[in-house]
Amino acid sequence: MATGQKAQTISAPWSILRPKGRRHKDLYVALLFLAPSLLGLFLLQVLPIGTALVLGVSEWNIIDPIKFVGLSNFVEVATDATFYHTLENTLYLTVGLEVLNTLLGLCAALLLKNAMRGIDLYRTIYFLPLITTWAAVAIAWRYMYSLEGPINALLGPLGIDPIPWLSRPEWAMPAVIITITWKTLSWKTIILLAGLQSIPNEFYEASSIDGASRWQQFWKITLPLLSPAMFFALIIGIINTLQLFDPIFIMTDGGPADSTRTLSYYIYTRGFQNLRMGYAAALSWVLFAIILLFTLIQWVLQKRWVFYQ
Amino acid sequence: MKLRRRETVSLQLVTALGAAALLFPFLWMISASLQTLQEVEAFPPIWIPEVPQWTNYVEAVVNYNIGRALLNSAIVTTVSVVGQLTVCSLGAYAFSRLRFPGRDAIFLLFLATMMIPHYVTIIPLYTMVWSAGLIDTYTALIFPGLFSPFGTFLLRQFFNQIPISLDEATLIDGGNHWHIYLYVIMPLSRAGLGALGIFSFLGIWNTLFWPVLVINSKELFTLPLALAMAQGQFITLIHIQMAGSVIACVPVILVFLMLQKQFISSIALSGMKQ
Amino acid sequence: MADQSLSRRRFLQSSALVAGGALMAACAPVAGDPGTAAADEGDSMSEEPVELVAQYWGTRPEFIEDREILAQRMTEKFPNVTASQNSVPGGQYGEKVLTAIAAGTPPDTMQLNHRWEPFFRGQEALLNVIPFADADAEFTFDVFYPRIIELGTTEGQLVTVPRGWNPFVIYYNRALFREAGLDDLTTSWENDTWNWDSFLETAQALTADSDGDGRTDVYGMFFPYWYPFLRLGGGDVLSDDQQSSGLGSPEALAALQWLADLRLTHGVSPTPAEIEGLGSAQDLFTAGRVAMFTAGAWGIGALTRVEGLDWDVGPLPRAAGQPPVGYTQYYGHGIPKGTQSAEWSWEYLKIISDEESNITVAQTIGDVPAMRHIAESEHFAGLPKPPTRQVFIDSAPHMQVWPTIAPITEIMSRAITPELNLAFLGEKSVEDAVAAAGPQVDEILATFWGN
Repeated sequence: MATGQKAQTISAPWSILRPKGRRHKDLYVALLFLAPSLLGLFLLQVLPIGTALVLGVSEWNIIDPIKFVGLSNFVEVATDATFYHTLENTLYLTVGLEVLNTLLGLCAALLLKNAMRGIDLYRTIYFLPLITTWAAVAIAWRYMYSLEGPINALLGPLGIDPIPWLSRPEWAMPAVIITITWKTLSWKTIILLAGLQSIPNEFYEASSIDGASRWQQFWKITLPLLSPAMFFALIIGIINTLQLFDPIFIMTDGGPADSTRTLSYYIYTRGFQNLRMGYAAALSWVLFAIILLFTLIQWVLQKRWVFYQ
Repeated sequence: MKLRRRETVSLQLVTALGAAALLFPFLWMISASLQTLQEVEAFPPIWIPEVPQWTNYVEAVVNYNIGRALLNSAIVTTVSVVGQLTVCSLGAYAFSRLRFPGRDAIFLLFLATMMIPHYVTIIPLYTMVWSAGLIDTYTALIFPGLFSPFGTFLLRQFFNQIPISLDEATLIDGGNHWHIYLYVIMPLSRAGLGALGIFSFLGIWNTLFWPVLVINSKELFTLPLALAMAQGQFITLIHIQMAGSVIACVPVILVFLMLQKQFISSIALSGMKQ
Repeated sequence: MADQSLSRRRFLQSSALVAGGALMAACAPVAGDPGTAAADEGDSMSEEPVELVAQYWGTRPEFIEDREILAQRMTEKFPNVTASQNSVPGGQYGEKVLTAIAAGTPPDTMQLNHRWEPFFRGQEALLNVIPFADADAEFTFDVFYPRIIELGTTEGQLVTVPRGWNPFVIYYNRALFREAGLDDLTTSWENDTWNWDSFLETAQALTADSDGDGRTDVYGMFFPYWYPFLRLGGGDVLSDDQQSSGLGSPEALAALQWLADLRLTHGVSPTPAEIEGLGSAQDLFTAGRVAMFTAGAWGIGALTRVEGLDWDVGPLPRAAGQPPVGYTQYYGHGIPKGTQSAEWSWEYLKIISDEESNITVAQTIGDVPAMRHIAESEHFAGLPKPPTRQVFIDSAPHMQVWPTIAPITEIMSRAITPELNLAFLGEKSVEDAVAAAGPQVDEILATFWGN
């Protein structure tokens, strides 16, 4: 069918911001198509964010009037030990979660791509963690991590003493990373699965005729053609992980000894518990700058590894 | 591609192992929903209740008003997801197919808004909703879900995969952009729309923080609010909460089964390419 | 600086209205603008329709039912009033109220406790209720425990009308006591043979490795709360003048060290690692893995529901040379500033705190009512379980609460608890933890008093 052949030659899957010459004649049509999005962007994002920008240079305890304080909030951020500590935790969490999620998500997507017997059931099962409520997840995993629980039981024969996962500062973060990976893995899997399905089968068939092994096919075809989807998932994943809050709140409440308190949790505490909305806004802008920096770095680095057809 | 028999078997095995590892907390949730409170709190956990407590489900539905909450969540989520798919796909079409000044700048703005932590924007947003007299209405619950920078980004990526030659064919046949959007892009982006549908459904179905702020009446409680009712400061009725959670999961599984057909059909599509 | 400040409400609202609030209003169902209800009610209470909202935390069905009844009673008493209740999960209470206050639409009454009362009073967000009480012939503070009123009053201001209180006691497992050959605990708070030494001996006698595998199976005691013991030992988190950390005092250091030793030296209390995954103190207690634990009166409701558990309560043990301390947390309701009509709020508040409502506290909610004659009546003291309910009531003369200055929650959660947890984990010595927490406490206090 014509569709397929053209897809190979013309489409640039996952290509981002690739201008193809300026044509302004679409302006009015574009306005029509964009109108709902622009309205939403303005009401739900630009206005509240604009307000937050003003708050960043203010002192506001929610109850009294807003007071302009210049850049003093940002000066305070620079010397705030808790800020650095929570930032460190956030980066630890982000790196750990992204590495695990990407590797395991890729494995799961490759498994689920195959048209094997019972695939519908498997796909549903792989999707279940995402919909299981956090309350149930937290209780079940607390049991998993307990001293007499299954994880320590598996480690026992390897000669590893039982690990108090959630109550030691050095183990809490790895435990949190494992649980969140388990819970959010299928998010990555869905994106990668959708990406895998856009790789035309004839590529594999052609290389099979040339005598390529499955391993070679994986490196020469699957990975390069999947890289744009992986890039997309990585960008979004990092943006989300750097703002992660709820799971930490439910699982460890930032403890023990602040070892799992993330920057966004700290922002929340400052805003709604210490009533320092101005300071919380300033911290948010710093977090925004960090996320933006990460995104830009990835954008620049994508040339090295992301392969557009 | 054709798999050899031995490969098929080992793939089955690995997939099944992975599935087992992913399944257990869900199984525990179902089991806990049928236990007494004492059984739920026992350690090590009991996997099979002595006598299945089906009354937990009755209690969840009657005492915690899960039925009404289910209806509310269904209304709010359905309208939000359909709305979000419409708004995002229209926007994504403009970014993917149309040329206009400032396009890239606006798109970058979309991306940037994803990077701002929620908690600083929540008070201005609440004030806005209150000023419009929307506190304690469905509109307040639905409105924020209609727009999603992530959704626009995701769909744009999918739209970019569809060859422009198809647009041109439609234009030659006398169609306009609306026709391309409706008859070319949308039907060919089922995988993307399915994925976004699942994500946005899940996100809106489970959200607690925003409904707490804008909803006061019990009649408008969504599922997460109703489930939180079993959560006490000192005592949590875990078995009731789990029964409610199981009820809350059923619609999501149904939606997933429905939308993952879109993935399957896109496999069928790539099969056709041969 | 006044010219640089700008009313939050006007600022937020103008930005919101510019945003096209009109457009959203167009999609809204026909609902009255809540803003019009805020039209000045004036000083006199008119017969015009009024809508009142009482804000609570906790969403258990029995709580909601209780609050619905209070709202109905308000509406019955004043036919022009439509009273309603608004309950949110405990974790979201602060956000809910603060967001409403920020938008200029505070609730008409709001629930307060040891955590929220100092917080909102410190922000000057609450009205003093004493003038209302003085002007109201129907109402008197004399029916409440005088100590609660005394503790809640600062500089002639009282912001909470109390409804219930939660004295901390020792809950103990009688079956485990008998197994260890121990008698029931005393019921007298003044009895000084029930002290920290006898407490430790009791805990040691109860601690057991019943299957002989070298790991403790039953722990003598568990302390989910360290603060009551700090007070029992004569220490506190703040210095007497509330200008600096009080944890460095000899009494405080000794009390904290004693607590740490219970775990790390004597092994009568489990470390978090030893009970990893086993649940809360209450879960451990009902499972028979902990023989004593400390909690407020809320433990009654939870433990009564456990069939076959033989338990009772005793007073907190006295430290050598220190008076008895009945550490408690009370709660009640107050009126936020900027409500539509403080007079109507007061009327609602009276119903929320009246005799009938106190009976509900005793019978349905399970806490000790703030009204003395209700607490001592058959509605609370007369109930069968636990056998020695009197212990709760007898703590009244020794009643103490934690400091009531505004930043207390921040001091506890941000400065002290993380450090002390390290000490209780054995990661740090008590001295080092206290030395690390001190400057953080001082800094928060300096900011607070500096304003």
